[in-house]
Amino acid sequence: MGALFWSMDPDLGSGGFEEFSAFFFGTQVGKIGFLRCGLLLLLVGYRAFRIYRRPQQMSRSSSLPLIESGIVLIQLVLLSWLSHAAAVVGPSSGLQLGNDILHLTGVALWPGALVPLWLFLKQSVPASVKRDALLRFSNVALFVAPVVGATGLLSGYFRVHSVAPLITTPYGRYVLFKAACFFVLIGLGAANRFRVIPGLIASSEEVRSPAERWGKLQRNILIEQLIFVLVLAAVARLVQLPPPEG
Amino acid sequence: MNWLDWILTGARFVSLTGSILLASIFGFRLLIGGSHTGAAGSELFAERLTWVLGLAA
Repeated sequence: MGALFWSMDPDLGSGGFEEFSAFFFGTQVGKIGFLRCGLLLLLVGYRAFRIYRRPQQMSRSSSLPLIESGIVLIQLVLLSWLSHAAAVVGPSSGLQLGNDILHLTGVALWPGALVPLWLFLKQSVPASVKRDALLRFSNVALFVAPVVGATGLLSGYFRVHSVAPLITTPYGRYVLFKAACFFVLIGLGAANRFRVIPGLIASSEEVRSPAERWGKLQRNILIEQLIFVLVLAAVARLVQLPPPEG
Repeated sequence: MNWLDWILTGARFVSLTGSILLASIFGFRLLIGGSHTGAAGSELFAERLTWVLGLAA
């Protein structure tokens, strides 16, 4: 929220409370940022309440995880309204915003979910449980990865328009870096999907040195996560840069 | 890049990472929640992890 506010103008607010008020309640960026912040504070507040209260004192409601998931999805979608795609005016504005939302949601499902998968695999649970979760994740990634690639390509076209600015502008070079990281992630994902996972799915009698295979898988996922962090850093910089003219 | 750019980029990075990982964790929980793996995964979604990511976002 602070970044959003100060990125508008570092001197904003020097004119008094009215300027803050005009920003948060008078501009689309301010309103969406304010709403997103409110949703996140609601979630954090509820979680803090659950930490404070003993679990047995909390009433068990099957709808709460779904409500929480809904809030989390909305705050993610609202992030697109704070991106370059939301600033587009014209007939393709809806398409660009929709594409950005699909890209962001896909990123949360595929490279993003590598982090909880990695944490999950490090837990001391039976190998059959790990295999089940791994297979589910892999099946989802198989469909989501092409969506992330296609929406990323489309987004790159919308922002950069041609090949030359990819080399000649800082914005284009960050886009190229993102694309290169995507292909490395695809390569590692394919190696896991077609070489490592089949060996783990087979019955334990057929698998030679399963511990070694699990270790290899976790190492690959760790590398993928590090690449994903680099992509996130590049995106954080991209948001600060103006797209090439055109 | 001046110091303000670095601070803004850092803040964007923290917010973006928190936001995406929050969605990833809830998505992953839904993915494994429909089976016996849900119980095993409950430790993963400790209150504090969600709390920290929510604040970061």
